[in-house]
Amino acid sequence: MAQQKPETDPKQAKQAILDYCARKGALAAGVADLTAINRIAPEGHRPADIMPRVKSVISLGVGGQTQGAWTVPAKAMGYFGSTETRAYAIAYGCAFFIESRFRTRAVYCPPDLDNESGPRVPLQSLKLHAELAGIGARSLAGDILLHPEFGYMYFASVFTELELPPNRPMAENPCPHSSCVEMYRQVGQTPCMKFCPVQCLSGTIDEAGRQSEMHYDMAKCAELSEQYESLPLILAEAMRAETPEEQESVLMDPDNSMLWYKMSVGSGGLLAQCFECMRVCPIATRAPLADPIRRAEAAAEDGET
Amino acid sequence: MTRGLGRTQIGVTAGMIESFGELVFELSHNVQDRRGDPIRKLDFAAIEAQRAALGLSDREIASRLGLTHDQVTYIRNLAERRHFVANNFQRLLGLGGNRRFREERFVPHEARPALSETALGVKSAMRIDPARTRRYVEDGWWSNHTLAGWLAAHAAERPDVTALDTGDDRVGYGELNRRMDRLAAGLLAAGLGRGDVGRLDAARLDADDPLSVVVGYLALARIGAVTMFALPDAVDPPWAAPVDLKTPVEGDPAELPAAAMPAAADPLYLAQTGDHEFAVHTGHTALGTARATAAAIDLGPGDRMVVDIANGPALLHLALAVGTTAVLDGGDGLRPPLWGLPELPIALLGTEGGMEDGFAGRPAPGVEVRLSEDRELELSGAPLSVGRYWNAAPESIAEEGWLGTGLEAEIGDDGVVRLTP
Ligand code: SF4
Ligand code: SF4
Repeated sequence: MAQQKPETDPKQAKQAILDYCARKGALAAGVADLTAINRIAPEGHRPADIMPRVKSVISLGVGGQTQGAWTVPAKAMGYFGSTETRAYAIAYGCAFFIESRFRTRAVYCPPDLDNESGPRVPLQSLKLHAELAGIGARSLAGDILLHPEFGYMYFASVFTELELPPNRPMAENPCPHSSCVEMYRQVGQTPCMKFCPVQCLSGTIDEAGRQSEMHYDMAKCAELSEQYESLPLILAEAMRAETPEEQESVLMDPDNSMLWYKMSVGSGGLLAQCFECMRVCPIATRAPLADPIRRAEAAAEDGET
Repeated sequence: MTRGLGRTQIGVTAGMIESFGELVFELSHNVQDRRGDPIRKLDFAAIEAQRAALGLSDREIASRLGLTHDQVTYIRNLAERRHFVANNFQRLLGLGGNRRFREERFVPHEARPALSETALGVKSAMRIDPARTRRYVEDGWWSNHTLAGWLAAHAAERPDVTALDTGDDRVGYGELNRRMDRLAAGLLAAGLGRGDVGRLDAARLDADDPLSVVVGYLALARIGAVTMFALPDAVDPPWAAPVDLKTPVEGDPAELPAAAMPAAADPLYLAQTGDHEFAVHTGHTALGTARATAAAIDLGPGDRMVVDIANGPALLHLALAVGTTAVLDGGDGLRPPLWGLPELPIALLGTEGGMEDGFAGRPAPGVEVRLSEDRELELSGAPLSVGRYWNAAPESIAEEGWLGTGLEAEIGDDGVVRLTP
């Protein structure tokens, strides 16, 4: 006879899950309001489209790269700048933790693109989950989520049939930082806008120093960050080439050869590897707990080891 | 295909992609506009009002435009690929560390200048046997010598040593370097660039102003342009830009971008060899053996050597190689006995007493000599020009790297070459 599932207190369960995430290295974690997700996410991209009986969405964030990483050239940072796989690993473990501890179904939310939609549409918006879970707020840098303590994080989500009390979104948005407001008043741009290599960001800040408008030409950003999208264009160009020299140049020149290299080794350098807006963002780079050095110093001040 | 279905199955035509592509693209999340902070504030009315601006899903676009979901997905993906500028990724390459993108200073890659047709024509005329390339590199003849590099070094080490002496005027290495840079900046501003060919008119007027010719040549070389040294009665080739040396337009050297630094393997000058034919010399062929040649004729930094620039730049190279004084007005100075052809200007270094009976000399450093079955002197080696330009299809300067001179000669056991008078 199957054993009776133990009664689960939602609050305690939530705390146990968030504690698990923290133990495994998440800087922040929360539960997003499923009803709100369903009202905002379009049909086909709601949690139930992945897990039909989902009751809760847990979102967690890990820190970005080390402080030293901001000093390296963009071409090097392109290979290792993002840390999302750490977030995914925690979320993956969290799903196992929930099933084994609470004997209720859970699933690691695939962070991947939607097979039915082409290479720019994700299955789920991890950003929406994190924002509603209160662990990040949309910035003027193309809605990249920022956190006042941890700066710039990478997010992962877990869906579960366990009912958990949701968090609220952040009460305040840390972006724009006061220094960005000052710069905006002087030159009409914030650092992320000014130094974006494809100038795909613009926006306005109101009298109170809050975001008024955010404009993001995501397609242009993709030209810098989604290198894999070049591949069909290169193949098409090679097929159109009129001479063998032209064809050789299209397929084998150094720039394009790099794409084949990155593909064959499965390099993360093929996708989402422009960091220039975050490199100049005071919150991403200088939030009190934005990197391991700051976190270690804060821990030392608190008397921790 | 979308979800395994092709265009004809989902009913998309090229015309539909044209008609709806931009609209679908803009309605999608490819372009995102947000007012206020409605999601964080859970302001659902504002979220609804801004849905299209924030970016619609394919399904939402489909219902708005009266297309099917599949049609929108297909059209959007095509529009995304058509918009995609693959080369923009390269904008990242110079960034990072403490280097930030500056829109006001950035020249898009596609707007950066390409070599002109002439420049490509001259480069295409270069045919270099790979085995010889390897040998000259391994022997140290072909490396990274450039006139600009030499000048910069002399300007730093011996700025006050006279580089050029015209009798009326003496120009030190420091000043020559500055004049070169000023004219180079002017030439660049006037539209000449890497690989373009400049014609120095004074070179065709028996060098009535040899100082200007030298500065013009150095300035062209500084920006990677090629100087045409034409015979006095040569027709003007349409591909060579006249460089006005009488009223030169100088520019601000600060404007000289580092990218304009010449490369030794690129063409440096063209020496006329026929009505419609020029031998192509690169930094490798023109400069690679100059220091060794100067040493072989005992030319050192304290010397003065007579240089007739109207005969081409080979002697000037010797002077500049070691930082000595080039005497341009035919005044006092060394006049070493040298023999060569435009394709290989310093082939033989004269041996004593050899001038009366034709010419007798030893091969200059890096030069190889041999006799054909008909006793014709043939030349080869690191200083041999690497191609011919403008006569017809590009061709090698000589069969297997050997240039026939058309002159009978003997080669003695002592290695001395005696041209038959
Ligand atoms: S990731 Fe790069 S391209 Fe995209 S918005 Fe930031 S700076 Fe611009
Ligand atoms: S630089 Fe950072 S804080 Fe400043 S406006 Fe941009 S995203 Fe916001």
